[in-house]
Formats: sequence, C-alpha cells, structure tokens
Amino acid sequence: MKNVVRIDGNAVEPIDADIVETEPNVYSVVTAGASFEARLTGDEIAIGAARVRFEIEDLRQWKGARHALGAHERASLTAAMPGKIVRVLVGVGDEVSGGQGLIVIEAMKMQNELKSPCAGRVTSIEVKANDSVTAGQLLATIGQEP
Amino acid sequence: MGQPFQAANSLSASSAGPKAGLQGGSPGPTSFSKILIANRGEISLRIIRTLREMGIRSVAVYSDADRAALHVRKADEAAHIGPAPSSESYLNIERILDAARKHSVDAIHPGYGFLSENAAFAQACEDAGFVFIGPSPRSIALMGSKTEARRVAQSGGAPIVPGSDSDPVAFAREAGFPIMLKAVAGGGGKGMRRVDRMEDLQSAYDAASSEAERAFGDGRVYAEKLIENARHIEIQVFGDQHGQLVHLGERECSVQRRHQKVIEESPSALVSAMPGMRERMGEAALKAARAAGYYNAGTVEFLADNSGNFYFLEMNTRLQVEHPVTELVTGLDMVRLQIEVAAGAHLPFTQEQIALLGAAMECRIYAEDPANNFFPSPGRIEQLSEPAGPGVRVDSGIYPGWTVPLEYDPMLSKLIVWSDTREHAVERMLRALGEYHVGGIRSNIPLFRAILNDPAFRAGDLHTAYLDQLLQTKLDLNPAPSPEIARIAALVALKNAALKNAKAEQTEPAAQSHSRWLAAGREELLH
Repeated sequence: MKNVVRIDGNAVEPIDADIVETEPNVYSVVTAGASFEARLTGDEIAIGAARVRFEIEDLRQWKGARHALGAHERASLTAAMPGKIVRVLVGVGDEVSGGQGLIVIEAMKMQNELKSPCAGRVTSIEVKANDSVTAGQLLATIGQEP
Repeated sequence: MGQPFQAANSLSASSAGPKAGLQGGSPGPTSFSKILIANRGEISLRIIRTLREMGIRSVAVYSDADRAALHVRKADEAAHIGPAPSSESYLNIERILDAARKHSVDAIHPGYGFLSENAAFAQACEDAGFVFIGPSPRSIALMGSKTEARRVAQSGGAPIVPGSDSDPVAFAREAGFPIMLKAVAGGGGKGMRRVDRMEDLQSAYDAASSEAERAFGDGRVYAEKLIENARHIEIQVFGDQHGQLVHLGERECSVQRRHQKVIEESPSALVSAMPGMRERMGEAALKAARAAGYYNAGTVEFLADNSGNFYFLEMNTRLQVEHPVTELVTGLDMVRLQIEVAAGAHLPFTQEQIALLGAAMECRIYAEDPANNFFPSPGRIEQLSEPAGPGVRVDSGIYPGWTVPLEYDPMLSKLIVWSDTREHAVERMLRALGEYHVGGIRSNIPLFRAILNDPAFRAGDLHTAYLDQLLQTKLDLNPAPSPEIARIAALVALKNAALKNAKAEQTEPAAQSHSRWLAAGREELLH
C-alpha cells in the first residue's frame, strides 16, 4: 500500500530527508545539501518563493488532506456568501484539475474566482451569469464519471 | 525629541549650529494625556505605538467588523462607533466625537484616508474642544479642492501643470492631446481619465464626472495637460504653528497601478542625480505650503520629467501612507512631531539641520492575487510570518487568525526597509520579502519580487506607466516549482497527514489505547 502525492497535479516521489514540524504547520526539511522551511495552509505548501498545491491519494484517506474522488463520489461547489454570478468558466463534461477556476462570483463589490475542490469532471452547473445566489447555494458538482 | 541624523546630503547648502529645540527656549507647549485615533488597521496601530512611547493614553475606535482587529487589541482604550460600513462608523463625525467625549480625550489624530482630509471634521473637532492633529480646517479646505490648490500653489510661485477647470474642449484644442481629466475633489485615482482624442473627450468627461460624483459626492472635473513618462515625486513638508516650515526631502512614488502607489522610496534616483533639484523642489513645495498658511505634516506632490522639470500636482493635507520612508532616511518619528506641533511646540530643528541618510523603500502588501488579475483575496489569515532583521520595519494590522474584512481597503501591511544605498535597499527588500509568508489568502508579494528584479527598476528608470507596461510583459508570477522543491513538498504533505491523523486519533477516546502505536506504524509506512 503506497501513498501517491500529487504536487500541482503531478505524482511526485517524496524526497528522502530529515523532517521536523517546528511550529504548527511549519516544517523544517534538511537534506544532505540544503535546509528548507515549508509552510502548509489548507492544500497549499509554500517553500521559499514557490507555492504549490498538494493532494494525497490513499486508501486510508488521511484526515486533513485532500483525496481524489472515488468512482462514484461527487464534490460540490457552493457559494460561501450571497452574491452574483459574473462568469461561468467551464461547461458540463469538462475535465478540471484541483484548484482550477470554475465560476467567478461578485460579493461585497469584489470579484472572486471559485476553484474546483478536486480534480474530476464537471457533472453539473447549477447557475448562469447574472444569477443571484444565496450563501450555501449549490453552484456546480464535480464527479469522476466520464 | 530626537535630532535628525547629521550626515551628508544636507537638504540645504548652508550649515548652522544647533538651534533651540523643544527642551530649549520654546514656550511650554500644552501636553496631551489622551488621544483618540479616528482610524483603523495598521495606521491606527502605528500611532498607538508612538503614543505609548510618549506616555499618552490611546483610544482606538472600531466598527462591528473590527471588534477583533489588532489596533483594538493594542490600544489602551477602545470605543465602538457603529456598524461595518464606513459611512456609519469611520466616516461618521458625530459618532467619533461622541467616543472622544465619552473617553475624555484631549486631541484626535485622523490618520490617513477616512476623515483625514475633511475640513468639516477638523472644524468639528475644534468646535467640540478637541485638538485636531493636522493642519487648520482652512488649509485643508484650500488644498482639498484640486483647482483651488493649483491657484494657491501658483500664487505662491510653484510651477503647475497647464490646465483648466472651465472648458476642457477649448483647453484640449490649445494644449493638445493627451490630456488628463481629474476630479476636483479627487484622490486615490478615482475620477481620473486619460484622453487621447477629441472624439473621446465627452464620454471620458461623463465617466470621470459620474465616478467622482459617486466617490466624493462632487462631480466637478478639470482638465490637465498629460505629461508623458512623468515621474511622481513628492516633498514632505512640516510646519509648526509659529510660522516655521521645513521640508524633509522627497519620496518617489512612480511605481503605480491604476493611479495607486505600489512602491515608494526616498531619495529619488532622479532627484539625487540632478544637481540642485532637491533644493528647487523643496523650495517650490514650501512656497505652495506657505501660501496655504500650512502647519503640521503635509505632502506636496509633483510630476517631474527626466530633465529635472517639475510641476505642482496637488497637496495632501495629512500624514501619508508612505511616511515611514521619510522617517527612515531622516531618523524622525513624524507622528511624534505631529503631536508636538499640534500641542503648540516649535519645530525642534531648522532646515539646515535636516539631512537624508541612506535609502529607504516601502512595499504596500495587499490581499490581492497578482497572478489572477489582482482579484481581491479577502479571508482568514491562517498563517503569518513577518520579516525581521537589520533595516526592516513592518507596519502591519494583521495577525494569524484575523479575517481581512471585506468592507475596507485590503492593505495588509507596509514592508519598509532601509540601507546605506538604493542598491542595498533593493537587495534587503528582496531578502525581507523572502521571509514574508501570509498563508490562507493571496498577497501581492510575488509582484514585488518581479518589480525588484526588473533591470529598469534597478536602474531607477521609472515613470508612472512603468508598472502597467511591466505587467503587459506577462510576468511569470507563479513559477513552476523545481523538481527538488516538488519532492520536498511531497514529503511535507505526507508528514503533515501522518501527524494530523495521529493527533485526531489521540483526541478520540475509543482509539486512545492504541493510537500511538498506530501513529508510529503509519509513520513507519511513510518512510
């Protein structure tokens, strides 16, 4: 049984190095030739100027990490606050990667791009441009079905 | 009151011995024991810090959205002034005065933005018996109108950009295109339009006017000749209430996006390279300020070309966002100075005693995503690591766990560095940016890296369209990680998952008995 770690969508073999959590979510990694500080927030890791997204695919489904969708699982995208849909960037059937922008919503006079919570295929889009939405309203679903 | 640095680059050719300072022959100024800060965020906190050093109690104000804000946490006292919208809180004169009365303050510091350039507010403070820490209501009113300010500056003998507030069509015919339309009551880039052709003039005028009406409640617009490739260079002036007025050198703020300053520095590479330019600009700024009967801190903004010509643009009658840059090269605490002259003290130095030492630079750190059209990125700050070390100053209003409110300007902090030369200041800023981590939201830190590494910026080859042009070159603001970084990230992701999983099981009583063994086993599997 082996974990697969995806960094920005690509499967990556973890480096063999000494790692210590020095502060909550801050890791010190020491390799033979270098010392790094890595900071983890949500599904993002910052190391120096680099900022990457990660996901772990694993049968044991580690808590706190994003996992790939199972064959019949669905992920849904909902509005975090009331607002207006400015643009829908994808269509039903589109293949999307985790973190890809799906819908642009305007709330409190600011536009925000809502991103896909995972990699998969868009199975439904529930809104169109200029629709008003309420907090928690379903906007789109992502699934694995072809 | 500390004396400014004595060093090379004196702002005046003549030399002078020490003059009577605050401890010297000035008549005993009134002193304040408590001051209310009519502002929020980083500037409120910055003022609180000076007040604490002076032994003056601070009163913060806050709206519903700011109950947990850093300035409220750090103040000696705090007053709730209303709901989140600024119009019902930070812009509400009556509520601020009520708070001032309730807390029995002596004076009110307006900070920048909000009510800081509102003559009616300054007057209302004085009418209610509070000292307004800033210029007189009359100076604010004079310089607050851009067209009136141009007249005042011109009457004082400062060069102005050719312009007209009567007939933009006739002016454009006479002066030629391009021209710039600006809101009479303007500021912050609102109500501004560039016009290149007569046929665009009417629609641009209407757009600028309606934008100005919405932003300032005043739709009046005037026209100015547009100086191409101009640099934005401003002079900090400071006056006491006894007629003494000095300038503290210049700041260059040519790196702008949509007329908003992004990086500010002092000294300006251009001004340093042109013999006599600093003295000439300083004199022109003092003429404009003198004509307005100015005292306390103010900034006279100029447009300058690379031949050393410069034109009066406008005057800001308040402490500026970028004042720390001047503080670092002069060694002065400008907020302390503001409070002292507001209390009636004489300026504790003369023009001859002021000198600029080294080079300072400021980056305005915003909650916005430069890799995604600068979309605002409000939200919760999950993690924060601020830079430190030699020559680094962070004026910040945030902390880990703070949610950046949607209602106000999304500036998170100002990162300011000082070093002996401009080149070293750039290197220091890049080092400091590398130490700066804001997790949970996006910030414009990657943009600053790109600017500071740009050869034109390094060479000091700047103008107000510089950044817009740089952004058109498709900067790679989010470069792909190197294979090594990706492999390190993968290790971090796994280690984090293992630790979080072990922690989660420790908190489940049923799993307690074997959780450590399980966690250890999983750790093993990971290696």
